[in-house]
Amino acid sequence: MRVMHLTIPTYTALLDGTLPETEARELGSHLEAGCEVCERWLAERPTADRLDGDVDLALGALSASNAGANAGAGNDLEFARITRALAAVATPSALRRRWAGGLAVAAALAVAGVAVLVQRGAGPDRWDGTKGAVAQAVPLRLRFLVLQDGPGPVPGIEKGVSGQAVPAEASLQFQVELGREADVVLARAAGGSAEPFFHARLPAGRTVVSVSGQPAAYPLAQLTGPQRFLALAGEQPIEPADVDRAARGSAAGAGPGQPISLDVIEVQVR
Amino acid sequence: MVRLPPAMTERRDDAMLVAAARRGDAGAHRALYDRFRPAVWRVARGFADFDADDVDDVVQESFVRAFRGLAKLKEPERVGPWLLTIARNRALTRLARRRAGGELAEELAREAEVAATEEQGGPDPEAGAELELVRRLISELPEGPEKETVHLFYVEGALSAREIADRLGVGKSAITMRLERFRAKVKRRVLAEVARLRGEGS
Repeated sequence: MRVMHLTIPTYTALLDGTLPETEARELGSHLEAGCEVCERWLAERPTADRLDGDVDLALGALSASNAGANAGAGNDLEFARITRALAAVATPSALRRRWAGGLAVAAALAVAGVAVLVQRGAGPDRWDGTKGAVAQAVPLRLRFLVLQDGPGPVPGIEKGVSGQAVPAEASLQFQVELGREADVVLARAAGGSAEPFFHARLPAGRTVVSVSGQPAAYPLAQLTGPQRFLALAGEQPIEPADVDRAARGSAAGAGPGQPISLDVIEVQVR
Repeated sequence: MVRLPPAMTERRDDAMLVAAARRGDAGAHRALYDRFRPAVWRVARGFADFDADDVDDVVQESFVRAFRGLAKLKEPERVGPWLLTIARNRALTRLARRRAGGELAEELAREAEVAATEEQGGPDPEAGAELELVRRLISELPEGPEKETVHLFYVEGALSAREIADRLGVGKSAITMRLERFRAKVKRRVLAEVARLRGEGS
């Protein structure tokens, strides 16, 4: 019998069900015997295909019962983010506002009454949101670090995950990721209203919220229970009404003005 | 009354969810998300280069892309494998972009992904048979680092590939390589089964 290693035409024909039966029998025996060349070929496939999907489903089922019922479970905030992304694609842009001076708003920002500056992150990765989309909404992610004084001279820094519990002594350091340059507002949602604490025009990529060139942290002292923080981004200046609407829980992108991206994180202050 | 095997029942339910989601039923979207989110999350966590943010992004992008493409899915009962294919390609695209840092790599990866997500049909030798095969392959692995890694990631499932690298004190690339080698072994055996069935004229 001739050696029949996997090739793209053979592989594709097999998955499509068009490989002649005799060839399929030969190939089956060959693969069953443990061909390392074919195994390596499969390992080096540059993209995933339906075989990967089946294999991943089976491999995922292995640990589903061991890893705990909630391992990898979804949450409302993430699903809302997905829904917003879909809506942004489906809804034609309705740019009704006039460009009102653009960069004039860039410096208008405050954290508890204190003016802050922003610095652009130096990381190499620029998040570009959902690729291939025709949305007008700006791809946006709000991330945060939890800073907490420890025994040493350097504060503890932990990457924050939405939904996590944090002590009231901790502070949150926010980072904003944008698919393109945009006007950005950060706010805390409190009882159906919003308390904006940051407003600036930011470049594409990751930006760390900073004060005078130093990373700024939002103190959680005086707060208890669930706390929601919002990030809004739009190509044109964001109005206070947009922030209030977002804080009340309505979809920011569905407002009467420009498409506005919204991202939300929540922490439990204990 | 004919009782369908659990895997077939699940797939029929999946098809119904897809049909409802295509009609714009938000509840069906949520049900699909809840049902497959853990599996999508596990795929993303298998990439040792990814931190928690990367994993979250891959999960989100996968569902956005999948929900947007539901209309193109010709076999709704295979929405699970289809979604996981999208997730793996999102992850690979992200890696390619990071490593190459170039738009060309991104474009190539995206083109390949579009092709992959539009593919229909699948190996599906027997619903649920892959799971048994995977269990057997793990038990057949010789004791050593690969089996330990595979067990920690695929069987216990509590740690990500990156966390396993930290725990075992080895490089991230070593963990990725071990997991990929095992996946290739599983793929080869599943493909052998597909070929055997095809050879029998089924």
